[in-house]
Amino acid sequence: MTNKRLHLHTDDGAALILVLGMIVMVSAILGGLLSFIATSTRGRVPLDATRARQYAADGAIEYAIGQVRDMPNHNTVVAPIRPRRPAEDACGPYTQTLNGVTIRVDCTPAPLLVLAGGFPLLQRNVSFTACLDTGVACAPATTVIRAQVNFEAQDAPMAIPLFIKRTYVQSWSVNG
Amino acid sequence: MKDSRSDAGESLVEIVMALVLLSLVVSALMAGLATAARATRFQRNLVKVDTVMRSYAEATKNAVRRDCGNYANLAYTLAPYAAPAGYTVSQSPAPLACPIPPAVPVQTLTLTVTGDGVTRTMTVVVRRP
Repeated sequence: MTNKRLHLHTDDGAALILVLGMIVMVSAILGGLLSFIATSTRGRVPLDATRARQYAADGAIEYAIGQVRDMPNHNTVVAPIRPRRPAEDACGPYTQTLNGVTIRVDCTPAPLLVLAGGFPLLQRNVSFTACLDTGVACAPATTVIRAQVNFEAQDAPMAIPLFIKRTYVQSWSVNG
Repeated sequence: MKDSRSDAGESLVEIVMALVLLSLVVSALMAGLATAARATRFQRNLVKVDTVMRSYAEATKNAVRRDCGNYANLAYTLAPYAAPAGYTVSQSPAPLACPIPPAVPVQTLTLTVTGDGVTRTMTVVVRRP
């Protein structure tokens, strides 16, 4: 009788304990799964934000190039041959909101005088920097896209106003 | 005899309880696995749509540079771009008119890609070179 009682007492609730142990184990597995789902879902957010930011910066620079190309003085802002008027140096900043991101584009004239066949030839270059708009000029660390564009004038380069015939993207670097 | 009767059926009750609990646990595990599989499939579809969106955007910009560089052209064509099977792409506004400065220095386009049950839109800006 004593042996039987002891034996029964030993087995008592063993299956339940096993199941409880399994519940704990499966809970841990489920926790891991949920964590995996949450991580992969969260992982998309910065990727989407990066794409939105890059294409917004891309679009904002394209917009700025279009604005500089068609400035009232037809881009004389980059012409150092004759004295510039103050208004001609007013190049940007331009702000654009695209894909839910507001981008600021700063532009800096970077004209270059080169010799072609013994004659000076003006290269109308402009540097553009695009960054998230925080109300201050784009710094190197915050720049998303930096580009330099050459504006080719019409055949009569000294004509005023100038007409830009074509633009050439000399460099276009994406900073993430 | 009395003890024996009080233990009668105890194992059966335990086993039934264990089975019920196990069923619940396995159901939860299966539901979790199914959710994880769905989430993974959804993420994969998002990545695929994102890839299609990027290539569509680049194809559009390239088409404008290629076709609108010739000032005689008033429109551009997306050929030879073709969306992967199962995906549809569109852009607004249509038709595919070249932006002509100074009146239209740039054109803002909304691109839409649909596929695998996911629809994404993105805005790009194109201009004549």
